[in-house]
Amino acid sequence: MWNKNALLGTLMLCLTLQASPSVAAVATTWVQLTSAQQEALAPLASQWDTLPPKLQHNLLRATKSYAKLTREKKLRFQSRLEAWSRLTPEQRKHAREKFHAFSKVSPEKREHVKQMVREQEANKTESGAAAADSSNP
Amino acid sequence: MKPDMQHQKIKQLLNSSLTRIEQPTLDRLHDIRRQTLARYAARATAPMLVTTDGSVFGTQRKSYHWVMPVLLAACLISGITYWHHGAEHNTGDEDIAILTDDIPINMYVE
Repeated sequence: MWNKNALLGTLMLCLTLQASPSVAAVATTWVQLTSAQQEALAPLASQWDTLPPKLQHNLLRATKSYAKLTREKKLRFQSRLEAWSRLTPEQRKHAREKFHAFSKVSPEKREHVKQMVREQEANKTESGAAAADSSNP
Repeated sequence: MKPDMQHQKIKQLLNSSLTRIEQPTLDRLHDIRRQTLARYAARATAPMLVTTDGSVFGTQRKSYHWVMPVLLAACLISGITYWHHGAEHNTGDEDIAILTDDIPINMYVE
């Protein structure tokens, strides 16, 4: 049987190949995107070329399901793109983890939380409108 | 018998045995020696990888020790790549789910 040096060599070969640039995400320019991808990522058009390749890669993967979304969800997706791209990788990771954990909660509890969030958002909108009214006599 | 004398005696016996070997046997021994040296020289010039403990990993030994590590490397690389792409695919799915969810992004970030 082969010795520990052979095993170590195998492991190092694997790690080297995995770390090679050919495997890593490569930056894509805006003009290289398909029209469907450009449509989905339109809010990021001006800054796309400056985004980190990894984020570009993840966003492009996300756009694969974009065509199947309802009109309302498409608008929501686009309205959140900028905020999403401004987050740090750690914040996005944290958001994914939280989303993942939340998706395991029972549907009733999830709906309850969503209802609370909707009410909170509605209150914010109302208080914002009231503040605007009071500042414009 | 003293050890020195015994040593001399053995040497004498061996030398006398050598002189008594027949010529065809000597020729065969010479041929074998020549072939062995030629094989050794050919192996010494072949590419190989000698590990730190002196064991040889390459073409010097007519063995297939390299097959298993290469197979293992191929399996590991394909496994890691598959897992890597699978994880990225899930990330893309999760990202679009977060970006289209009823709950705003900031709720997940905070």
